[in-house]
Amino acid sequence: MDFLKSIAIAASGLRAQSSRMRVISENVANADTVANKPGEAPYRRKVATFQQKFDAELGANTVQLGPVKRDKAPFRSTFEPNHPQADARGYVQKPNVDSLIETLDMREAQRSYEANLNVVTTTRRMLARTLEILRA
Amino acid sequence: MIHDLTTFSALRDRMKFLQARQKLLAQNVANADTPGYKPKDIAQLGVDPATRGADQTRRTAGVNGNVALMATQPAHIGAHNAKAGAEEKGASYETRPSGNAVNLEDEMLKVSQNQIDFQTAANLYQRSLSTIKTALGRKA
Repeated sequence: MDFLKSIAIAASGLRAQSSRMRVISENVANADTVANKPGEAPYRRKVATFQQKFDAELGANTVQLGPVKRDKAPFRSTFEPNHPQADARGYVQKPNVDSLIETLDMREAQRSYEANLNVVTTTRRMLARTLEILRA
Repeated sequence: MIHDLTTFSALRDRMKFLQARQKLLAQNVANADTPGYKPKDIAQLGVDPATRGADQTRRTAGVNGNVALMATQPAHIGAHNAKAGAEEKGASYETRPSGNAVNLEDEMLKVSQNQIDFQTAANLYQRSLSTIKTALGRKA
């Protein structure tokens, strides 16, 4: 049944987008996580990647979450001499998480999730319409 | 058999086509954020009136009942591979830096258009079915 395959493909999109959402929430939650010891690196932002994967059973390219990579952007450093994690010069290394980027990323994930959901709804309606032929 | 009637076989083909298109559109939407992914669409059923007179051989092929793939580029696969109807669209104006060219609004529009087309075909099928039932003397 091709319609069920369409739903399965859309479901792969839903899964990928929600996994991306998990990575984003991890970043937001750790936006201020500093290192345990002075001189160590704080939390480094994670980046979710997507990969297309050919599903032989569905005969189509589904999407899946690729390896979660680390953002290479430099850390923010703030001058807080009294902070327990401050280095010799009085600077504290903060994570390279930008809340603006995370918010926009979240919006994009939401938009893509809703698009996939829309495909599922539409396909289901088409499937139901096919079954109605039998009922009449 | 009911599929010997042209109306039914035509509608069945139409519905099969829309089903296959829905699968392709679902793939496009699912890969809306995959780097390097180009959206695909299926070539429309039937003879394209815009190119009808342009290619004489294709027209005669159509008369003989074989539908050939249109080859607009030398890299295109020939007519012997008619099953692989999915074609990638050319360079879109909205290709993102990641190489992804899916336009979500476009795809949503196509999905709902597909649904309407399917509904039309399904309604026509049902109406034709009730016509047959009337002819058989049953209550439609």
